[in-house]
Amino acid sequence: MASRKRYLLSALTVVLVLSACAPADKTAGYKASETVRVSGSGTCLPLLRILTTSYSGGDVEFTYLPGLHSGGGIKGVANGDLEIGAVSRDLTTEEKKLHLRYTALSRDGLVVATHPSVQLDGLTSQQVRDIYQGTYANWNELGGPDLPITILDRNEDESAKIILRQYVLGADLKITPKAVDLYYEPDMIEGVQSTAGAIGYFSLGYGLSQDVPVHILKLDGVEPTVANIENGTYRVVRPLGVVTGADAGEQIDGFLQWARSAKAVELIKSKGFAPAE
Amino acid sequence: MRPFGRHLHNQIIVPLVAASIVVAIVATLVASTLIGRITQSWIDESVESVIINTRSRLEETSVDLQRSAKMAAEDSRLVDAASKDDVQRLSGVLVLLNQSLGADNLMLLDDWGTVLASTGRLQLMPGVLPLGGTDRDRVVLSMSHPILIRIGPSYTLTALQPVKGPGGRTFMLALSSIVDDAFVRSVSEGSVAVVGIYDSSGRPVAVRSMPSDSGQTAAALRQPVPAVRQALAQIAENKTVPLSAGGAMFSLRAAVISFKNDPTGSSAYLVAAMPTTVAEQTRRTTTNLILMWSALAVLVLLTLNWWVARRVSEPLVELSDSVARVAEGDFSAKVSFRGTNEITRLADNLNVMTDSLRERSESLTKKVLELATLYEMSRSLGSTLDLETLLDLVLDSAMRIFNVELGYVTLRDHESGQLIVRSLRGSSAPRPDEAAVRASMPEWVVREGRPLIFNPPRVGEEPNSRIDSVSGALAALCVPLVSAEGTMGAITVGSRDSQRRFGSDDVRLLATIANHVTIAIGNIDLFSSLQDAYLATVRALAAAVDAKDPYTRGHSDTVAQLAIAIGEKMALAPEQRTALEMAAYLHDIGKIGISEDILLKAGKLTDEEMAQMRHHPLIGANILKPIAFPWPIAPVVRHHHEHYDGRGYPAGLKGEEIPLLARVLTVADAYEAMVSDRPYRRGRSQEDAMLELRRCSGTQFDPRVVEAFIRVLSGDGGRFGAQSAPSPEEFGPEEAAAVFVAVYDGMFARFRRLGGPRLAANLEQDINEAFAEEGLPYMLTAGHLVYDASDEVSGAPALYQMRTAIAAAAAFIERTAGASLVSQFYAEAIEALPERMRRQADHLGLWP
Repeated sequence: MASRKRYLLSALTVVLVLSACAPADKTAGYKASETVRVSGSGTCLPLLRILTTSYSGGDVEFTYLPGLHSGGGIKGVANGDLEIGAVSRDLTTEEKKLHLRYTALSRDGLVVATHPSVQLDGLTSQQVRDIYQGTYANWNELGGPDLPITILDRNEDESAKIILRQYVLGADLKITPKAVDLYYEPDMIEGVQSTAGAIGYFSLGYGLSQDVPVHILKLDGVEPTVANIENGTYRVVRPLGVVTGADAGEQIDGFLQWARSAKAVELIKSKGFAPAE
Repeated sequence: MRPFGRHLHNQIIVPLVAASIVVAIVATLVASTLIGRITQSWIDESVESVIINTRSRLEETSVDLQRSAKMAAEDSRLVDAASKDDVQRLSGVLVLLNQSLGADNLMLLDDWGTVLASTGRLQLMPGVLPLGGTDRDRVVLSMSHPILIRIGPSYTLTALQPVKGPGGRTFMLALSSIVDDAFVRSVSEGSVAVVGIYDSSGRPVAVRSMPSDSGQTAAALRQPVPAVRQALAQIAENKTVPLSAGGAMFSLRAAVISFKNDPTGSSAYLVAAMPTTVAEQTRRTTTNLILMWSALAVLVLLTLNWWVARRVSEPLVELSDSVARVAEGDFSAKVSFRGTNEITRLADNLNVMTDSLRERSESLTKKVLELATLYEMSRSLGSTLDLETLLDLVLDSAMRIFNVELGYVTLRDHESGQLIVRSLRGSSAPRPDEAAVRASMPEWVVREGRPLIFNPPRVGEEPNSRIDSVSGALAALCVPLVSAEGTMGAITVGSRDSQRRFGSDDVRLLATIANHVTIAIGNIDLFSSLQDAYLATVRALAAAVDAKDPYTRGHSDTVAQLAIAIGEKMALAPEQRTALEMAAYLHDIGKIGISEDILLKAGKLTDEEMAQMRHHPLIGANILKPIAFPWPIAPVVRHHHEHYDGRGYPAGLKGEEIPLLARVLTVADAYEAMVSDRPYRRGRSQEDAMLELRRCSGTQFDPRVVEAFIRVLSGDGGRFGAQSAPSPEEFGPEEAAAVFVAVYDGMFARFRRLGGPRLAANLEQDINEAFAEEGLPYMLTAGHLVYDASDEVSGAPALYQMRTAIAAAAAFIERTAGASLVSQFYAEAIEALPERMRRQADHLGLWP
């Protein structure tokens, strides 16, 4: 068999030798561009991806490292492992001492959503609290379908959870043990969209930008939309921004400058992210 | 080119071309078959490897899935939630577990197969029976291994693990991977084939297309085309099926997907479509190239063959032509080629051989000519007793042998001792004077007894003015005629050609001729002395008769002279003339036996006396019979009183029955008797006698003899005048034919002697064919000419026929033996004839 292949090979060689060689050198000019490492809040990363994908100015290559939390992103920038750290909460006092530059990019609404099998128009903040408290076991208790309520939650130190507690749950609400904590926002979204009767919360921008098939609920009758966030009607929002080194270099400065421009604002609005204040 | 050359040419080219074409075809066929097979096996192997790889990936995936399911099933949170039958918590735990498992779907079923909780892409609501009743039974059995199963609208690879439920119930954790395009992509990563998975009933489930594929192949696999169905049908045979989609060629191969330890025997099918366009193109291109090269090789071989064949056959044709020309006797045929190879060496050797053949042939021809001439000469030397004829003959032969135009014989005169030129040929002066003879070569040769050669000076040599004084030859050869008694003379041949040279060979040859001549001259001398002796005897006998009959004294002498004169007029042969003379002297010898009373009686004899008297020819013949004369004398004497009309005595013969010499003698005898005086009467006058002869011509005498005798008597030249040529009318057509036959036979006999019986037979056949073509009434059988006497033609047409026949024979002999020999043959044939016939032959002008 091997020898046959050799025959074929020699035949091919003959063919190659006899036929004119087609010049097919792929030597496209390679431009050594500056690599910008990006990581941090999983909530904020989709926004950054939208921005970096559309950014055409400057000679930068954005490299997304695996998602960390906001704190991880800040630490990464502080010790030089990252150039841009995505942050989806306000910086703590200690973090502010690191002398990093914070640039606000957006205000992201936090939405409460269910699996599409639960077609409730909306919930009140109290109802949400009751659900997470374990008051209800089945959606039919809330006028929904006969499905057990699968409660998806985030860790307490997650910005989403912090914001949710801040605006909806309240600081000292005891979460039912039936709820499960998910580490990443994508997992949350995945869980909500793939589990019948599931309820969870996540970034509006993330949800809209990924176009996930979930049912977004009105909270206290207010629909979470970019417009409602902008005009302040929908209050459950968190700031999305990036930290960079104090002197990040002109490429990153250029990018950040563009990211705050009107054009970039229009772009992020269209993707479900409200602009920063 | 000649047929021969073309033939050889083709014999070289055709087999080689045929062989090369056959080899090319076989090579091309073998190569293309081989390439086809290699390509096919390559494709087969590629497809096979895709299938094997995919299957093993699938196996790995399923093992991973099973392991994950097991791990998940053992998760304490799940076990806890399951044991409490806490649906809310279970669902949450599943979400949590799937967060790390990343499976397409994770669900928990109760012991009835109803969904308790599910998360994932299958979007199953609690309470549904995803596996169906029957499936559930199987599921129970196959918890050790994933199964391929349709859940809802999706085809999945599902791993099942038992989870302890509350109250001894057993739940089932189902971890599923949806068999979709992405799944197929992941299990067939890295291969270039389009891969599709089909469920157990052959429905397409998922297809993984290649990045380069336009999608048509994937579409073909998604909506199974006949080729796919065929591939599925031929799984057992492990065959590939060709498929054409989107302008590209593919090879399809199907395989069963089944897992180890799968007790349900659930199966699916895997179909791999390997693009074969490149392989096909490669095969086609390679085949075309081989074909092209083969054709080129055949063409090159053809050209080479043609060149080689020409190189070989052309010289061969030339050589063959040359050999053929040499075989025909053309020794000037030469071949020459450039270069130094076997053929040029052959040509050179052939040239050398041709030259050597020519030399040998020439010398052989010369020798044959010499021998033939010598032979003929020696034969004719014995046939003539006339010295002049002999010498002429010898000279002619010698000149022909030496190919010269001058020749003469000098003999020492017995009385004077002077050398006298006895025969001279080719010289302008008819008779050389004595001074010239004295200064000539023979004078020296005879004196010294040694041969002498005069050769003209060669180019560059000092010129000399040696010219033979008798013949005027520049080159001459003279040898002595030496007999037992000493040198009797010399024979000389010469040429006025200043290039002619004589050598020792020539001396030897001429000496041989001279020996023959010497012997012949000796014979002639001997014969003439014998003849003289005879003559003396005869005269003595005649004197005896005269003594008996004084009245007729001198009668015999006179009759003899008259008879000889008549004989000469009638152009009788010398022997006949001699015989006639002898017979004339002796014709009345019988009278010795007649009584003197009767002989000497005056007046008329009585009848009885007359009867006695008439006995004298018989008596004479009886007397002469015991004498062994070399000539037939007795019959002449016996019949010299016969009459032409048959009324004579003693036998009463008539016309031609009477010997010719007797008829001549009768006339001479009668005439002498008439004109001579007798005791009883006076002789008549010559005129009376002639009148009497004329009167009795045709009755008593032969008219032709009388005619000749009258010419003798009335001839101005006297009795011994020059012979007049016989008038053409004298030769009858029969005689002419006889001469012609004799000449023909003679020529043919000579050719036969020289050429051998086989060649003679061929010649005979050729000549007979020529006769048949010309419509001549002749035919050669066994070397003799026979002619159809019934178709008698005389006069000019007969002569024309004879000449044509001779010309035909001459042409054939010339072609075989050469021109010189044919004239030689003719000359010899003529010479072999008696004098009379020879002259007749000359007269007829048979020679073309």
